[in-house]
Parts: sequence; structure tokens; C-alpha cells
Amino acid sequence: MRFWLPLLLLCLAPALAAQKVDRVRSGFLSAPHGRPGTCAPYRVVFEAPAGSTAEVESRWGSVVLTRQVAVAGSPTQALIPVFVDPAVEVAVRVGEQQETFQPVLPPRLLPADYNRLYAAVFSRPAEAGRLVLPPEPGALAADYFETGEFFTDWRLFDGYDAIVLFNPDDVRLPAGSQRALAEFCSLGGSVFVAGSFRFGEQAGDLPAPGDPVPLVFSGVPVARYEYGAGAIYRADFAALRDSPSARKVIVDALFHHAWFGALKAPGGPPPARALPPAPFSYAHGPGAEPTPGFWFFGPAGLLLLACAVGPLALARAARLRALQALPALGSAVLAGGLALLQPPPESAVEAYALVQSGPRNDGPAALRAWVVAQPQWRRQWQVPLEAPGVRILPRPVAATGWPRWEVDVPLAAGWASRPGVRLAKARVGEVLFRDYAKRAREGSTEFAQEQALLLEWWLENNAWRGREATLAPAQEPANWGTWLGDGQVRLRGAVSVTAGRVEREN
Amino acid sequence: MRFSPLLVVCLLLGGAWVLWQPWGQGPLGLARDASLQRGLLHLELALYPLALLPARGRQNLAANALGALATFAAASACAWLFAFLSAEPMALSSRPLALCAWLGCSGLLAAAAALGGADNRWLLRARVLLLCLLGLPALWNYFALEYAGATAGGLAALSPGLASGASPWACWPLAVLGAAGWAVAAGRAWRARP
Repeated sequence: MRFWLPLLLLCLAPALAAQKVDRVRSGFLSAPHGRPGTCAPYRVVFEAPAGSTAEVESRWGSVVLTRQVAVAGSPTQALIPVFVDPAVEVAVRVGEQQETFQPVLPPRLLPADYNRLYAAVFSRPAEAGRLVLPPEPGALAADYFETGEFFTDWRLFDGYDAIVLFNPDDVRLPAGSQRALAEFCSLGGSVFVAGSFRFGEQAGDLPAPGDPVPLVFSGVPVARYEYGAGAIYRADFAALRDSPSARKVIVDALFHHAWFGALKAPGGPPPARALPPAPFSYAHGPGAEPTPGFWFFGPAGLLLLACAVGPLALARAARLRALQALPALGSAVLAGGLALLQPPPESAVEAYALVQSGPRNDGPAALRAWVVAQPQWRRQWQVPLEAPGVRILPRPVAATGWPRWEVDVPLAAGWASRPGVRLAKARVGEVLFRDYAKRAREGSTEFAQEQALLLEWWLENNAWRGREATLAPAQEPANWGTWLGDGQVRLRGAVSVTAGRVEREN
Repeated sequence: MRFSPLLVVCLLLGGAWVLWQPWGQGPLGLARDASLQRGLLHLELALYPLALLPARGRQNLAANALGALATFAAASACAWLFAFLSAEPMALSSRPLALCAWLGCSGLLAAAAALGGADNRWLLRARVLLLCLLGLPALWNYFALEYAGATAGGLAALSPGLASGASPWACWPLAVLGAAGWAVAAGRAWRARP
């Protein structure tokens, strides 16, 4: 018997998985909270042979976020952004073997709401953050983390409206945190820091924040630094600690950003991740039309010749009447085979882009792009999370026809915008916003007609009470679509949006 | 049937040349891309009832079958020639649909030629029927929507024009009809005196 067991194990060894996910210890770090349709931090705990490299994947439809993890000890932990959606899957792959499972979604889903902010709070220890800034039903939902675990990828912050950092002890944040914060803010997020940032890196290529604007909340001085569509609020930790209403100071600062400086929430829903209903009808750009080549004209000539001459050549042979079609048949097979040698054109990829920027012309900006492509473009949109360069986050969009994605691109540089028009009180200049959109569609404004599609969609979704903005036609830089990869990329329209603010008296 | 492949090739290449010109594209709302290829595929489907002309008689059965096959092969080769227009494998994915349309047309016309009298009455009637069935999908759509109060979905199984956006084998009833037509034509020819 003692010989049989090892023999059995030896036989079964190839069938055993090289990795095993601990599903009890794996889970959303944000649980019980999560924002539907956005990424939340997810910790995957798994066993794998030491020295191997594991690939952890988060899959949502056609979007796959991947992270390479070097397995040193056992168990191994990996932090990965996972979409909060019932269709999401997580996979761990070591070599050829993989284990896939559906993560348990957080039970408390928090859709975007002007009146209830969702924040990630970092402090040391994590419980200290809860004491200073407890969650407030209907106004603030918060997840609490240790400062040393600060996320270094903005995609882990994707679902949050704000980040709060308590760092009185000058704890060094992990390398990559500065870039993550800059990217988060450029996309419209707000950061409240009490104490100091002590970044683990000195990223010299990041745009600097704007000049500080002094504000006072409940008697505590707070400096506001504009950063693209987002902002950084900074307060002295001692002043906050001595304040009898530290929680109110922080919440007021966060709402100050979310409500564009006003004392009450804007009307309507907050800017949501939605697809503009503009029609996508692909047409090649000038000079990019496919042209027939040798493998078109050669087989076409052969086919014409054989179909015309073949029956005539065999016409006199009455007994071979049935065979008169053979030259045409043979040449058709040959021409069809040769026609397959034609290189297909690159897949067509179209995009609309909304450029979100701050009041400074040279300040940081971010892009929200809606991409539609021919089905042959790519079956899956693979996003390696460690890849250098622009850290994009695509989301699949359910639609009939060609596949579509919605892509957030932080820190998008080089987008120029012409002087724009101002939206205030549902009017663009002196004109009601719907009338202005109609004029734009007719081509009688500074917006091109394709930009007008995006402009109209944005106005319909954002021209609510309390929303002010400067809208302008945007001009893309030469290399704007490098993150799209291959394909025949065409930008159909880009509009720059700078949210207006109502700076109140504090 | 001798020149049916030539007729199909000339009409498709000539149609493509017209659609390639700016004055040809504008009125039809086409461009030099996948839309032009799709337009040519519609043209191909509408050509089968027109291009096939089977002859009567037992001695012509094999010539009819080979001629029809050559016509389908020539039309398919033309469709492949225009694959450079789009990254989508449209020519390949439309073949089952084209096969159904071709089989339906050739089978029905072969049966009509075998059954028809010396004046080819049944052949002409079959051609008119096929033109109404396949070549005028817009008219069918109009009648269905205006008078029957139904959607055009039920017609897709018969009209390749309507089925072009549906599944590749949407026109399978036409294939069945065509196979039955060829069986009738073969049986009639077999029983006829040489």
C-alpha cells in the first residue's frame, strides 16, 4: 500500500494545478463597498512554486488587465484592479496552467452621487483614519488602509471620488505613489492630505500643480492646489488635530471640489461614464483609402480572359459542350486563390475624445475616449499593468455592431484648444444650450460638425443647475493615439472641457 | 449558360468601377471601404436570377450544372478580389448566403427549363418569381411593413438581400428549394427520350 500512494501521486502530478488560489483570503480590499462599472483593489492570494512567474489577470468582457508576479514565498499576494461587475473574472496563470474564478462582489454598491462621496483613507494605523473620519451615511463612504500600503497605480483608485491621506509622521509612500496621485487628480479626483506627502520617488516628468489658493474650513486653513480637472487640498496636521471638527473640515473640502465650489450640490447626476449616442460610421481619412494592387488586377484579367475566350475556344467541339464552362471554373478557382494574397487593410479604429483640463493652459489634462473598432482589430484589449508610458484603463461598452470601449487616459499631454465658449445657467453665451448644439450641428459655430456630436452629448448630460464650463474645439497632438496600438486610427472629434467653479466665501 | 460567368464578372467589375468613381459613390452613400464591398455583395446576390439561363434537354443537364457552378465560382472570385477594401472577411463570411441564393436560383431555373414547354414559359415565370423573391427585397420590405403589419424578419429566409445582415445560413430554404429543383431536372432528363 505504501508504494501505491506515491505512484498514484506521481501519475496524477501533471494533472494537478501548478497554482492554487486561496479564495477565502482573496477579495476586494474595498469590501463591503464598491462602485459599479469601475475598478476596485482586489487582493489575490495564491500558492505557486517558488521561483516561478505568475500572471494575474482581471477580465471584464474584452478587457484584460494583467500583472506579472514573481513568486518568492508561499503564499503569494498580488494586488490588481478588478472591475465591480457580475461578469468579471480573475485568473491566475503559471506556465500553461491557469485557475479562473468569479470574485465575490462587494455587497454595498455605491453609484456616483453628488451628495455621497466615496473616499479611500490612508493613515497609520488604518484604524486612526476611521477615528478621525468615520463614514457618514448619505454623505461619506470610506475605505481605510495603512499608509504603507498606498496604491501605486491610479487604476486601483478608479472607483473613488477622493483620497484622504493622514501622514503626520512623514511616512515614506511607496515608489509610484506620486504618479498615481497625479493621474488620479488629472482625471478629476480630489486628494486631501493632512501632514506631508513623502513620495517614494521624484518623478520629474509630472506636471506641477497650480499655485495654492488659501481657503478656510471650520476655522482650519486649507490650501487648494488645482491639478487639471482635480485638486489637492492640504492642511496642517496639528491644526486639524486641534480643531473640534476635523471630520467636517475634511468633508467640506471634499465637497468643495465635488460641488465646484458651490454651497449645494449641482443638479442632475454627476458626470458619469456613459457612451455618447453619436453614430459611428467609419470612413477612411483622406489619403488612407485602400487601393487595388497587382494581386487584384492580375487575377481579374485572368478571370475575364478565361471567361471570354474559354467558351469560344471550345465552341466547335460539340461533344465537349458540357466542358465549355471548365475554363471559367478553373480560372475562377485560381483567381480566387490569388486574390487571397492581397494584404488586408489595417482594421479601422475610430475615437471621440473629451479632454478634461484645468483653468491653466499648460496644466495637466486627461482624456476620456470612446473607441469603436472593426471586430478584427483585437479580440481582447490586453493592458499590462506594469507597462511604462501612459497608464490607460479601457472599459468594454455593450453595443451591437462593432465592439466599443471607453478609455480613460490620465495625464494626456499636448492637446491644444482654441478659445472656447462658456456654459453657465444652461446657456452657451446668450443662447440656450440646445439651440447652441443645433447650431453646432449645422456647422455655424466654432465647432466642426463631428465635434458637434460630442458637444451635444456633453451638454445634454451636463447642462444642469450649478454646472459651468468652458468648452472648446480640441486639436490632437501628433502621437495622441499611441496607446491604441496598431490599426488605422481616426479621431473623429475632440472637445476640451474645463469645469467652471463658483468660489464661495468660507 | 456559356457566357454567364463572363456576364457576372463584367457586371461586378463594371459595377465596382462605377462605385469607385466619386460621382458613383455620392448618390449611393458609399465610400472606398467596406461599404463598397458590401454593395458589390448585394449586387452579386441580385445577379443570380438574371445571369443563369439553363437550356432544355437531357443533353444539356451537365452543361447547365457546370455552367451554374462556374458562374458561382466566378462571382465568388470577384468577391474575393475586393477583399482589399476591408479588414473584415466579408467575402468569406458571405459565401454560405451566396451559395444558398445560387443553389435556389439555379435549381429552380433548371427545373423550370426541364418542365417548361418549347417556348420556355416556365423558365420565364421562374425568373420573374426569383426576381420578385430575391432581387426586390426593398419592395418586399415595403409590402410587408405597409400592408401586412409584420416585420421583414420573416422574409429573410427567402431574400438574400434582407438576410445579408443575418446569419450566414439564413437562406437555407432557398438551398432546399434549389436541391429539389435540381433533383426534378435530373429526374425529368433521365426519363426523357434521348
